[in-house]
Amino acid sequence: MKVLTKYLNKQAIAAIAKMDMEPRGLVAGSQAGNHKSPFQGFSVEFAGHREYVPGDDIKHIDWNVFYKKDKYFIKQYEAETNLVCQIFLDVSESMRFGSHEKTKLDFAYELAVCLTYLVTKASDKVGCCVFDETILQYIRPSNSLATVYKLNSILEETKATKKTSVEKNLMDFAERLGRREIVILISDFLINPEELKRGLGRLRYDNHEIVLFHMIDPYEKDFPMDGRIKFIGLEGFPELKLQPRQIRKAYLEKFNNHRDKIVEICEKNRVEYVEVDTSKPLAELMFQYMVSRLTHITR
Amino acid sequence: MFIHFAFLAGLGLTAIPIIIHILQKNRVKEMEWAAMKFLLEIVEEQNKKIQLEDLLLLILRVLMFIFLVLGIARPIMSISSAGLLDSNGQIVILMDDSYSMSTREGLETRFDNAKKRAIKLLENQPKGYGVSIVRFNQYSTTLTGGFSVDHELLKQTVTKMKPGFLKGNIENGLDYAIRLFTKDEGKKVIFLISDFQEKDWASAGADLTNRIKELNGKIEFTFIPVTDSIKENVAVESVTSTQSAVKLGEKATIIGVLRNYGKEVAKDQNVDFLVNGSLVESSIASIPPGQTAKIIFSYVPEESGDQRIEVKLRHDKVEPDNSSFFTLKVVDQLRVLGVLDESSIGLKFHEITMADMALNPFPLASKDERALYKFEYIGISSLASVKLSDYDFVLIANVRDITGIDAKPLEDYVKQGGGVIMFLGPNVKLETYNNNLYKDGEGLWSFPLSEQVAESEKDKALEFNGENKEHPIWQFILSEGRNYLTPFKVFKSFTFDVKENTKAIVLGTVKSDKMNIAKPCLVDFSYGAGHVIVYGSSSNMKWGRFPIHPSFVAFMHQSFKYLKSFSSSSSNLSIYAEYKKKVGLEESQASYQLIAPSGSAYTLSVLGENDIYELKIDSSKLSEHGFYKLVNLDDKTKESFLSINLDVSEGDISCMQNGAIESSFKPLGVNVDLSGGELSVALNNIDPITELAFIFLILAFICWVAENLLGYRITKRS
Repeated sequence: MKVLTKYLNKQAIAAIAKMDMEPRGLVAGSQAGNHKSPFQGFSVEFAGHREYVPGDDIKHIDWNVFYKKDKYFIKQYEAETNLVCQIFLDVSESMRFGSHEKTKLDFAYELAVCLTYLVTKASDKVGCCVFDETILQYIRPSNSLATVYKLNSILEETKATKKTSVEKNLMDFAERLGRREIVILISDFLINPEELKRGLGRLRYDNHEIVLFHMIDPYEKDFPMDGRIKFIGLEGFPELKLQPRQIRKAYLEKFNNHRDKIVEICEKNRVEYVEVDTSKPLAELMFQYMVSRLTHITR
Repeated sequence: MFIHFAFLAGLGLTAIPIIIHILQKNRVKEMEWAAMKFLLEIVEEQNKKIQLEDLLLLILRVLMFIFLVLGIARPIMSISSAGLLDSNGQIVILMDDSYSMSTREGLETRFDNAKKRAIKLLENQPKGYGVSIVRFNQYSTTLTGGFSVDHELLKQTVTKMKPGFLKGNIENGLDYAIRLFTKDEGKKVIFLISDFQEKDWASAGADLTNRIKELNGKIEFTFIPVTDSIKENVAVESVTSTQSAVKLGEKATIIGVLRNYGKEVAKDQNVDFLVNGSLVESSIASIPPGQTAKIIFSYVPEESGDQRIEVKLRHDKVEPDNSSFFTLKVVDQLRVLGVLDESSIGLKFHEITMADMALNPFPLASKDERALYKFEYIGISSLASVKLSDYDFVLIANVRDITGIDAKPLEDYVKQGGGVIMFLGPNVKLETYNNNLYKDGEGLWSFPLSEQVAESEKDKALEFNGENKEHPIWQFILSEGRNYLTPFKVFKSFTFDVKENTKAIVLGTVKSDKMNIAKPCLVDFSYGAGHVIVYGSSSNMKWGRFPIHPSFVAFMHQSFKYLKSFSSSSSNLSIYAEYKKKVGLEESQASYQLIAPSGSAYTLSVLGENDIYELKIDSSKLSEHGFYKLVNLDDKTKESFLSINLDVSEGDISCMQNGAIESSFKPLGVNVDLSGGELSVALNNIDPITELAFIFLILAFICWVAENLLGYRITKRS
């Protein structure tokens, strides 16, 4: 029997059941919702007064002020809108690597599905872009819970066999977005950091809130292997026979440099960087992440 | 032996760790890897590093070998040349190695004593001082290629020295030593070790004294005599044969000359006669002091080719001059081609008959079995069709015309070293001879032929005069005060017009009463490598009486011997002489080997110029006395021998007395060391020379260590 939500991790859902995905800043949704909008209008939250100008609806005239000031003033309210979350998910071949139970790809799928569930549960919209060399699938933003099943179904059919092209796809992806949305990038970012820098710059131009989940396998981070190993390259890289112990120091230096560079790029672009250890449970990651969102200062 | 031998089977357990090691080595795990980019970058960086290290390794290895070689070559640096010392100086140890130094007294020779003195001198010198060892005789050479500070090496060099085979020349040796000093300033010292042969030192005389006086103050001389009281020496001065070549099966006569250089009669000297190394005959001779004695041996050669003749004294204190060597050529026959007019062929008595009889003193002349010179006759018209190189000589007599076709093969023959004798006569037509043999100075003859001359009175002879009396042809006729030509009559003769030419030697002239000056009638023309001897008169009785004159026999023999000498230089040579031999085109292609008496071998090659090929042996290769073997490597049956003899004038071995040496040289400021080489000569201010070998060896060691460390690092990493 086919499981409809293969990648919906129950422990993770349970861990964040009472939490909502609150944006850290203003969002600009297309519908009324629970989140602050950068626009002002006529809603619940009072924002202030302004002088009446011909053309304004007279029903918004604050008569109490007219009595006091003998002038017409219009009452204004803060607009509240819904949240639009866009997930940008890397399914390139390098994501297939995993030294433990789950590969980076499995973990990324679960994370994406979990986030989709979290957003749709709060009646906000979530969209998802699945890419490798090109954009493979794009699920338009929707607040329907069916999006979770749809995404799950797409991911089940996706094969990770190609290289990553982050910059090009981010540029393309940015064209499909509105403004002031939450963009979640999920990848192992084994790319040239400069590509990422240019892609993030484009997203920041539209005032999106960006969260970057960096998928790291513990073997990639610690390089703990021993003996003689034939490394079979993914994404078209050749094979190499090496003794890892002899190059561990050099490797770790390179890997850490690469990660530090990505962190630096994130900081410069005001992107939230989340390092994901794929050997740990998703529930733990989600809980910690959601808590951190609540405790951090709103930008 | 083992008490529990069976337990040795347990050695087989050593296989276990080996198997584990091999299995472990071959076990490779496979793993897909995402962050391959980093691994590739690391490998690439390491490859670059390895390349750099390889280059460094190469440089270190090259430097190591450079320093090692420089270290072994032991470079030196003069402190004075480096500006660290104001004064400098050099020492030359001059050793007499003439063959009188071979004189043996007891078990040791004078040269053995000289070597001991030289070694003592070297031991007495402080280390770091440059010394040169020079050997002197007729020629002088340094054995060290300059000044060396390696006294051990110098001692080894001295130990290996042997006396030479040449006579001494003290002035030559001193000149050489003086020229060896390379510095203008500083102290210069010459130690001279010699047997002070009276003969050499007396002949050097005033010149030597003046030279030493002149150098006094500039060079410090120390004479170290290795003299003894031996005066008696008998030498085999020479070995010769009366014949230039001997016919196979005919008796050869060998003359050995012994000379007594001593002061007393040399009684009962045992003299051996050896042929090809085998004793043939022994004789006993007694020789008065200063006199020579001839000992005549004879034997019948049983094989053709070069025979090695040696005359040897059995017991004498000076070994090198106890033997003398001679190479005797034994041939079956020498071929002579007689060329006549066609009309004379077949005559019982013709123009060449007298020459044949002169050379072969038998009733049947060359037809006799004992004849050495085999005559064959052809008409002049057949000359072009005969292979002249098959003949040892060509004799042309009273031929009417020499055409261009006839002249060409003659030119080629002479050019290659062949010999031609021409007799003219009544048949000769002057024009054809001048056209084809003189050819305006380009032909065989260097002078043109002129008209016949004769006295107007019948039976009155022309005045004949022999010229250039030192010429080999006149050896037994005109030389050394002899003149056997006086009664010799010439009635008619062609003459030559003299032209400026160095290629012609006039051997005889004729003059009639009407003539103001005598004109040449007997001329030796050289052409290429060979010679042509032309006699303007006839070889029979028609124009003169020369063929019946006793000197005609000597003239013919000497002429043939002279002409033969141009095809090969004598195989009987003095030591250090140069040897040249003309060879044909076929032989010029071959390789030759020269084997010295000591067994040293040299490879020789033939040099060719203008179609003349010459096998040449440098004088430096002929530095031993005895028989040298010359082998044609392409045809080993063609081997010949060269006999090399000493100049025995060195045989007067008596030495100056020590007192005489002191009285002669001390007044000139020369130190004379009679203490046996212990003399400590002041060597103050002599330039210390720094040896750099140690520094280079240390650098080589440092390079070796660095190379090993780097190599270890690379091995460990890879």
